[in-house]
Amino acid sequence: MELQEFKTKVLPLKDRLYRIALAMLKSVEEAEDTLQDVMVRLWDKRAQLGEYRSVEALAVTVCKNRCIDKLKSKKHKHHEDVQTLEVESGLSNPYRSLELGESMKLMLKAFDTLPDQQRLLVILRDVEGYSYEEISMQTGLQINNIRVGLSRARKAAREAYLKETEYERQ
Amino acid sequence: MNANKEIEQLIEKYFSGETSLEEEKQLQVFFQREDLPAELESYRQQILMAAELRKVRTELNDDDLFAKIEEASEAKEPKVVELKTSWQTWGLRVAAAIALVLVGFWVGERFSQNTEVSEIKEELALLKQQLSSNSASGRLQAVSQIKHAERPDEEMLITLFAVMKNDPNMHVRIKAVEALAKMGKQPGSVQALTGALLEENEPAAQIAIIEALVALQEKSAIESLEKLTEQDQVLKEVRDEAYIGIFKLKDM
Repeated sequence: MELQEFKTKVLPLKDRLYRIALAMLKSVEEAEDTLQDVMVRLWDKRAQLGEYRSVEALAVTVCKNRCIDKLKSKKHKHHEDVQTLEVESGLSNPYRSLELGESMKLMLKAFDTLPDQQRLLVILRDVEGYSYEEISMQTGLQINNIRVGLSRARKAAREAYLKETEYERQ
Repeated sequence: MNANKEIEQLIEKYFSGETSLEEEKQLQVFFQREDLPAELESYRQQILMAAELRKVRTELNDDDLFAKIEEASEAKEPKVVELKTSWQTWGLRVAAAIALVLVGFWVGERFSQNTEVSEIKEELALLKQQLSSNSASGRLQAVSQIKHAERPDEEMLITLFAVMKNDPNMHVRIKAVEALAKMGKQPGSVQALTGALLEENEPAAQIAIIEALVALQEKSAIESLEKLTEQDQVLKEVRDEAYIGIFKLKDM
């Protein structure tokens, strides 16, 4: 794959990849960092990119793997507690670029409490609108497990949201 | 009333993960209306969240991303400067280059072979000596120091196979796996790796082996990877890694 093709096939994926990274890492800075890193990796692989059935699926896979690596190493360094604090205090709100109503803010807060894998599935399906086959290629999960995971994620998000609104009302 | 019933059914399907993309779009459109029935109000934010998140864009533009790519590739390879010249000077240059290369080969052939062979021998002797050491760090160092990864000889390979299979320390085993991956496809290495994969119990080492098989682009490893995903006692993360490996190999 040459420069021109890279520009037309890979670079336009940047917003999608960024949204995935943002939902996984909950930090604008880290999501940007990951996006750049993913692009460098894909560029390094450009010689083989043509051989992949779906460059997009590969890009999402690479992005997802980088996020998981980061989440793992973060847990190692006990950074996560600090980050949760920052998120709760609004210091590093990942969605600061959006103008949101109060209820939507609560919804996103609820979404952020979901486990990593569930957030990933919601982003891939509900936000990016990928088919189950595509998500299966991207994540290596079987379609049935994706359905079950999504069902759990949606139910958990609703529960967390209802809890948040109740808490607000009191 | 009837329409509401339909939406309620859709919501139920949505929460059990059974809606199609089409139906999910239908839900997103429905929940945009202002006059939602009160009993459905509590679902509104969740359904509309997707559209909200879809508005997120990165502030990095293509130039930012390319700057990073260039930075990374410059670190790896020296810049090539293109010169405009006529075809005659090119002809001369090509001829000179070929002559140089030929001379280079001739000289290189005479000198390098012997020194390289003896270096490998030396390395191997050192490796074997250090591998019998009792300290894991000594053995780790021994495996990390393998330099002639591009052209290993048979004895070196067999030694590495044995380390990968038998060393009591996980880190040493992983280093051996990585050394094998760096050597590219070598006689016996795929069998040794797949064999070790099914015997290995340490998740980190299992993942290293999966990565090595993918790096070697070894399609025949798919069967072993599939076997691994069927074993319930294998850690979920490892099985996921195996799935990804299968996906990548099938795609090559």
